[in-house]
Amino acid sequence: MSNWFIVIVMKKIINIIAYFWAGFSFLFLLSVFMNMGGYQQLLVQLPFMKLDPLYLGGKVVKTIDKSNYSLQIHEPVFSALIGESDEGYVQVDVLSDEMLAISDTLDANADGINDFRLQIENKELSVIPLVETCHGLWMYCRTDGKWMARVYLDNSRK
Amino acid sequence: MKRKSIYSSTGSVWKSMLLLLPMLLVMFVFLSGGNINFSDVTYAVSFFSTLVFFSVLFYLMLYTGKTDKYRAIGFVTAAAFFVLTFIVNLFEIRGNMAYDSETMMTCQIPFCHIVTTMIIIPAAIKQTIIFPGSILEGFAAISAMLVFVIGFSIVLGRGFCSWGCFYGGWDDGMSRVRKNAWIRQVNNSFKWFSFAMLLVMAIWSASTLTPQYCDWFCPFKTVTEYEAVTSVTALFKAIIFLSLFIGLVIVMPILTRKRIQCATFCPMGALLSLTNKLNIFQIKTDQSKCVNCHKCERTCPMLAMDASHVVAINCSKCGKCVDECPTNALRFHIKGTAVDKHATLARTLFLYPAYAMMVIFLGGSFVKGIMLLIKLCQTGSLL
Repeated sequence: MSNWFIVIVMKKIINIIAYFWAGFSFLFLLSVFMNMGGYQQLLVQLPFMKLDPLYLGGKVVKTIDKSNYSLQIHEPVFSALIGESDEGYVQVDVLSDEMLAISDTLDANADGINDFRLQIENKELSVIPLVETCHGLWMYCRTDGKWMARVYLDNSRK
Repeated sequence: MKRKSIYSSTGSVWKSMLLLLPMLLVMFVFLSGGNINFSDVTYAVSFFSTLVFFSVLFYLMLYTGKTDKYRAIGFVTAAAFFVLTFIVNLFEIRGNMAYDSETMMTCQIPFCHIVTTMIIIPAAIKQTIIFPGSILEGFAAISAMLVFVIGFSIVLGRGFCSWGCFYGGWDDGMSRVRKNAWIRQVNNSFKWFSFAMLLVMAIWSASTLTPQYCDWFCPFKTVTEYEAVTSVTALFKAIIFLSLFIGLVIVMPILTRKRIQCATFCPMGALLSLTNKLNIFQIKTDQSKCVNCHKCERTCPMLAMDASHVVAINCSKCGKCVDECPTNALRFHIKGTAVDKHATLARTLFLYPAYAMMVIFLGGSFVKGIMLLIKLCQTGSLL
């Protein structure tokens, strides 16, 4: 008798919870849209909510000032799921408001040897590899008063 | 023989109107976004057309007791409008649909919900997001889309595929072009291919730190944005995107009346299928009423119904089987409750969040889409 009673009561409780949960779903959905900014702020605080350096280009580690432009060399990116990859790239920014013609040799991985020559001519950017570990230009663009170039590079640490 | 409806609102104008009112309020508030200045005639016409359109559909769902028919009208139209507004937006910003190296290097690519499947492993192991988009700012920021994905998963599970996904609407629409299928038998086991896609794409993307499905296989690149064709590889990718779009989103759904891309290919669908387990809503068969006519099995566009009429994990809760079942054996059900009781309550409690999601998530594109069509009529140009 008591078991039978417990079963009935439990079923009733589960029913109430289930209907309550179902009803709450609607309110929760509305809260997702109403408090989108708040939920976003909560989410971005999580440790994984940052872009991989593979997409960001790495931190700027060296700035070379020239007379009418400056070069920013980023930290070479050898991003891998675990550890570092054999191949990666280095990003170089050329900061200049004007469309200049330039030609500079650069040591991208700070090993004392120039890795490539960066040229800008006729509004086109090109890269000439100077060492075997450099594999040429991956992509480039001009935006917000600067050129951004990514150059394929082997990982000298591996 | 016409079956008797199990919903108390069916055929009752007043009950249907009463149930429509809260939804009408929600639609008005969220579609307007707090902007109730209707001095711009084009906006006012677009806004109220959208409001009336979605209100009528919801009313008809309640009044007729049919879910899928009216859901599909709203869902397919909204998906078409989404693509229209997305493309026009791209043309206004970039002048074309292709993204170039600048978009990549400045991390401005809109985050699509399907990418979620490919960022999970790197986010867990490497604690980074492998996508060239914006974390917080701009259109379709990563954090915003992830909030949507988590929210929708909790509320509806895979119901998102039939009530909110702007890609799903294309597949759904194409599967309704013909009244009868040319290919009548599609093996239900094909649905497991999407789970294989999920696994392969998640691992492949993690190992290369590149969202490979987006890079190589997404059919919807054809109607959204794609890599600028500046190399042989990019041309090859474009051919794959177009072939998959024509094959999986247009031809196969027309021939089979099944949502082939959604049911067999989409990794996001497979991931959301897993969240169906956490979700309170489901479609369930009352086996005592089932007469083994197999109509549900033939009808289900997602290949989710097996021969024993047990609804599989990949059900997208479109309601087509519920509408078609001649004995009302299939029902919207709330887990933990009796399947043969409170049919109206269970369906209504499901319809509110599902329909609200569709209107709030896709309604904005609908309003903009109508504004664009008005502009097209006035100026002869969408831009």
